[in-house]
This record gives sequence, structure tokens and C-alpha cells, in this order.
Amino acid sequence: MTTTQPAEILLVEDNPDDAELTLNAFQRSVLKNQIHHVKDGVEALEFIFATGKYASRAADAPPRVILLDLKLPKITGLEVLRRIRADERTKLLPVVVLTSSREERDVIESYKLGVNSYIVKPVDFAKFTESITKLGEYWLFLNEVPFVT
Amino acid sequence: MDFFPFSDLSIHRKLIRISQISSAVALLLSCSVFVSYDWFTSRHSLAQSLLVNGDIVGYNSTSALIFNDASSATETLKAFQSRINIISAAILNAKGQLFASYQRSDQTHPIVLPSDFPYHDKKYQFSNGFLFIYDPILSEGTVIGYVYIQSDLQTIHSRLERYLVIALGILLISFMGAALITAPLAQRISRLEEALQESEERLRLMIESVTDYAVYMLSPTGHIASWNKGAERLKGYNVDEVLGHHFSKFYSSEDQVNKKPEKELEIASTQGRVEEEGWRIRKDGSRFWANTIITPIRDKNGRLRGFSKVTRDMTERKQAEENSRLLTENLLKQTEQLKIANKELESFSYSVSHDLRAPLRAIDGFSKRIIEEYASKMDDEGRRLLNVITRNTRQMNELIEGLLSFSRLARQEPNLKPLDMSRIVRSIIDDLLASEPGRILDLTLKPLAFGNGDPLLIKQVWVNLLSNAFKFTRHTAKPSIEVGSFAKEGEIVYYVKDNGAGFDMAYADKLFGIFQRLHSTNEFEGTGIGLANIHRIIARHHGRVWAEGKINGGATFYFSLPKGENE
Repeated sequence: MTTTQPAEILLVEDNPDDAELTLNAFQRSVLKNQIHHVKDGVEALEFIFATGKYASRAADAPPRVILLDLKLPKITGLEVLRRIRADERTKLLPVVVLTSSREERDVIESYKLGVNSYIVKPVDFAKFTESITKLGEYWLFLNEVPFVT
Repeated sequence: MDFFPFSDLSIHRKLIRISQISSAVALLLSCSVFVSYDWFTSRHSLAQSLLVNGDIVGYNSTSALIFNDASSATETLKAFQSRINIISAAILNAKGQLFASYQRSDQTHPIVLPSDFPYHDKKYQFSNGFLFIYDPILSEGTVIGYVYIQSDLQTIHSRLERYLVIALGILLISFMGAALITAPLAQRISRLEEALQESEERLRLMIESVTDYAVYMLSPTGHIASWNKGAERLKGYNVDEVLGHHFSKFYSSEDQVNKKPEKELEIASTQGRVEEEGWRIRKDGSRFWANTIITPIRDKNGRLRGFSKVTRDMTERKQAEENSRLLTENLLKQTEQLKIANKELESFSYSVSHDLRAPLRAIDGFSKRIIEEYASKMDDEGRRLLNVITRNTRQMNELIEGLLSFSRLARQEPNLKPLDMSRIVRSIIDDLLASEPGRILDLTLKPLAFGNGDPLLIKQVWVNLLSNAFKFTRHTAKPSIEVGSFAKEGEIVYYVKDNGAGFDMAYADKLFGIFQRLHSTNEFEGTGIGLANIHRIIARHHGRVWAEGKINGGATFYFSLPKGENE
């Protein structure tokens, strides 16, 4: 199977510095997939469900993986996760929580809501870059997702 | 018993008197009836017998009267000599004139006929202590004269005297008999009465002397009928001030308006008892918390005779209850505040975890990018300065991590399980050796006693202690580490001993404080959180931690866990 269109990664991150570092890490890696960055929960949902300013986006072309920060303005990461899992179209969509918080309750809550992975962003830049690279490789190359029409 | 005239006598004497008097009254009554009956019958029979005598004398004197033979009549009259009670007698002619007379030998005065003679409707009359007979003498249906007799009542009197003597004698005997019969009974009754009086007195004294309880009686309408010392002490009124007053005066005006006292009596009389607690008012206006029991008192016919009322001062208990209530309230309030404080701490750690790390990551990330992307445009000094920045961000990250793990421990309740300490220690040492390939160490792992603890938390303790031992022996020529355990008074002590850098015992108390370090970061890396975490974990297990050491003489760290019930 060949893809002319690179698989999309949705990065939900309100902190522009974190976002830049993440995008930078992706650029350094071999991954040349198209990454889309949204800055809050509302925008994330609009992108995922092709509504609002993303209404023109094809709703049947969801991102391959969503990298979701938890602490977000307007709608929190957990709420975004809950709505993704509540919707028939997106409930099987791989979601990776990428956050600074290693709080037990956040981890538990995320897994309860059906997150596929929970990653704590390392402070050390080298480790951070390594984590992002591994993350991308895993979810885009190693992991198989169910074929959803 | 006030209606008896001899109420001041003992019951014993009273009983004897009563029986004596009743028998005397009965005897006197019967005697007087008999005597008066006898008195009348004997007078009548005396009169009748004298009339018979008169008839005989009259008959015998008929011829003497017809023939006017006075001496013969006088002779006939002498027949009365045999009857000594006849004082005088006479034969009168039809006109009532003296014809012949007789006088007892002791009579000196001549006969004087009573002035009302002759009688017309009767033949005799008692007067002035004498019996007068006036018996007509008939001859062929015509009154030809009269027999007059005056008799004294000596026989009747002496008869009466005898009767009286006998009656008195019987009275005396009955008096003594009554006394004799009644005495043992009276004694028994008096003994009973004494006992009764004694017990009544005892009871009265007892109630009287009870000072902790107000014990008093109420009339059926609720008016005070008795008062004891306790009541006086409790309510402040003395007997004279309350006797006859309605007991509602001890209630608050609000209770009085609500008719609470009356309602209590009503409930007591219908339900047989009422127990209640509430504020009561003393004479001086102060109030006390009273526990009150009202019990109705009924006679054997079920008629309500009054109420007994027992009141206790429960102010102290009420106060204590109030205090404990306030205490509990305060405690709950404090607990609530603590909960809020904990929540705040939690959200603080949360924001530290998230918010503090993000800028740190940015500092580190962008510094690294400068180093990587702009290294060629900088000299060595510039690169060194940037490295200082990144080293500090790493250090700060470790501090944040430590702080978070420390605060997490405060919230985590240990989940106690029996732990195979030897296995735990061995696996940690394996990991540590693997992370430092080429380290040569003299390791002594003695068999360790099982302990009760939270597997994750106790593992963290061992990790901290063992990695410390590894760390502080890094510069030692012949490093050696010993791990062991021993039992000691209800607890098991574990230790990790090394021959590393050691520490000054003067600072031993600072070892377990958070962020306390006895070595510079240059010498040995670390945040100073490890031992603080150990201290906190072991404290949560109700164990102890301590350490021994000297500079460059090695250190021994101890921690103890309480022995479980099955050990």
C-alpha cells in the first residue's frame, strides 16, 4: 500500500515553546509526515470532527494519531479525549497523551477514558527529542490500526 | 391520730386504754340497764308485796272497823313488825281519819300522814325516798277504811349497793382482763409501729439528707408538699418559701407559657412516669440543666394522691456534652480545613509538575538548540555558559521531581504486605551494578528478615539507601557495602553499611530533612530528597530511621519496621 498523502499527526498543545520543540523534534527525525498543530481543545475537536474553521476538511480522513496535552485552555485534554471516544467515527482513533504531568490521577483518568498511551514529556531536550522520535516511529510505522471506513 | 385525747401516749398504752374503755363502757351500759330495770321491778314488787300485806291487814281489820274496835286493829297492825322496812302503818276510817297505828320501834315522832292523802287513782306512791301505800278496805263493795303504810327503800338501796359493788368488781376484772389480753397484742403492734416509725424516720432522713438530688412531693394539682436538702441546695429555696407553691415556678417563663409543667403531670399520671431534661430556674434566677423524673403516687384504690419528683443537676454533664460537641465541631472544621489545605497542596504539586516543568523544558530545549545549531558562531566561553544553563535546568528538574515524589508520599496510604527483603535488595543491587559496569565492590548481603510494608514504598527506601551507598563509596579505595537485619524489641531493624565518605555526626539530625545535603553537588550528585523520603515512608510504617557515621569513615543507615502480630 502506497500513500501519496503523508499520514497526519495532530498535535494538541497550548504551549508554543513545547509545540515548537515537538515540531523541531519531528523535523530532526526521519518522519516527514504532515503534522498539524492546534492550540486548544476546541480547535482540536473542530479539526477532528471537521467542523468550524475545519469544516472544509474531509471528515473521513482522520489523523493517524493524536498527541494530546492535558492542560489546555477552553476544553481540557481529558474532555477532548472523552469526546473522541464517545464518537462512533473516532472512538478507535489512537490518542497519545503527551503531558508534563505524571500525576497518578491524570494517568488513571486518561486510561479510563481509553487513551492508547501516556507519555510524560522529559525536561531534558535530548531525551525529549528521543521520546518524540520513538513515539512517531511507533505509532506511524510499528503500530497497526483497525481499518475504519 | 390527733383526734385521740391521749395522742401523746405510746400506741401500746393507747391500745390498752382503748380496750379498757370499750369494755367499761359496755359493762356500764349493761349494768345501768340491769340496775335500772331491777330498780323499777324491785320497787314495783315491793309495792305489790306491801299491798298484799295491806290487803291482809285490811281484811283482818274489817270487823274492828265495823265494831270500832281500835285496839284489835292496833293488834292486827303489829303483824307489820315482821317487815322491818315498814316505818309506820295505820288503819284509817272511811273519812281518812286515823283509827289505829303502828310505828317501828326506832320511830319517836307520831305519824304524820302525807298531805296529798288519800289518793284517788292509785294505791301507792314513791316520794321523798319512801313508799307510801294507801290500800282501801272493802266490805261488801263499800270502802269502810284504808290501810296506810310508809315503808323505807332500804332493801332496794342495799340491793343496788350490792349490784354496784358487783358491777365495779366486774369492771375491775374486765379492766385487768382487757389489759392482760391486749398487752401482748399491743406490744406486738407497738413493736410494729416502732419499726414502722423507725423505717419511716430512716427513709425521711435519707431523703432529707440526699443533697445531690432534689426529692420532693407534689399534690395532685402540682403544689409542693415536701422538700429535702437536695431540693434546697439545687433550687435555692428553703422549705418555707416553696411549701404549697406550684412547682411550675422552677420552670422558665417560656415553659410556663407552654404549660410544660402541667403537661408533664398529665403524662406522668396517664403513663405512670415521665422523665425529661431541660433548663430550670433557681431562686437567684440562674439556670441549671435538670434531669427530672415524675412518678404519680396512688392509693390502693388507684386514686391519685400526688406525685414524687426527683430532680438531678446535670449541668456539668450537659456542659461536658456541649464541650465535646464543640470540640467535635472544631475538629470537623479543622479536618475540613486540613482537607482543603491538602487539596491546595495537591493542586500546587500538580501545577508545579506541569507548569514549572514546561518553562524548564523550553530553557533546556532552546539552549541545546543554540549549542547544536549555533555552536560554530560561539567561542568556548559561550558554550560553557550555555552548558551551565542546561546543567542547572537538569538540577532543577530533579528538585521538582523530588518535591513531587515527597508530596505524593504524604497522600499515599501504605498497603502492608509481608516482604521478602533479601529478594528486593538483591534485585536492586543487580540493577545498580548493571548501571555501573566495571564497579568493583565488596558486597556482603546477610540473610534479611521478612518485614511488613508497602512493596513499592519499601523498595524505594532500599533503592535510596543502596544507591547512596554506591554513590558515596565511589571515591573509596576498597569500597565495601554490607546489608543486614536484626530483631529488637518489637521491631526489625535493617541496615546498610558502607565505608564511603561518611558524615559528621554533628549533622546527623539534618540528614533526614528535605533538601538537606552534607556534600556538595560537585562531590556527590543529589537533591537531598532521598533520605527525607525514607524518613517519611518509614514514619508512615510506624518505624524509625537513624544513621551513624564519621567523615571518611563510612556510614550506616538504619530503618526499623514494627513486627507484625504473626511474628
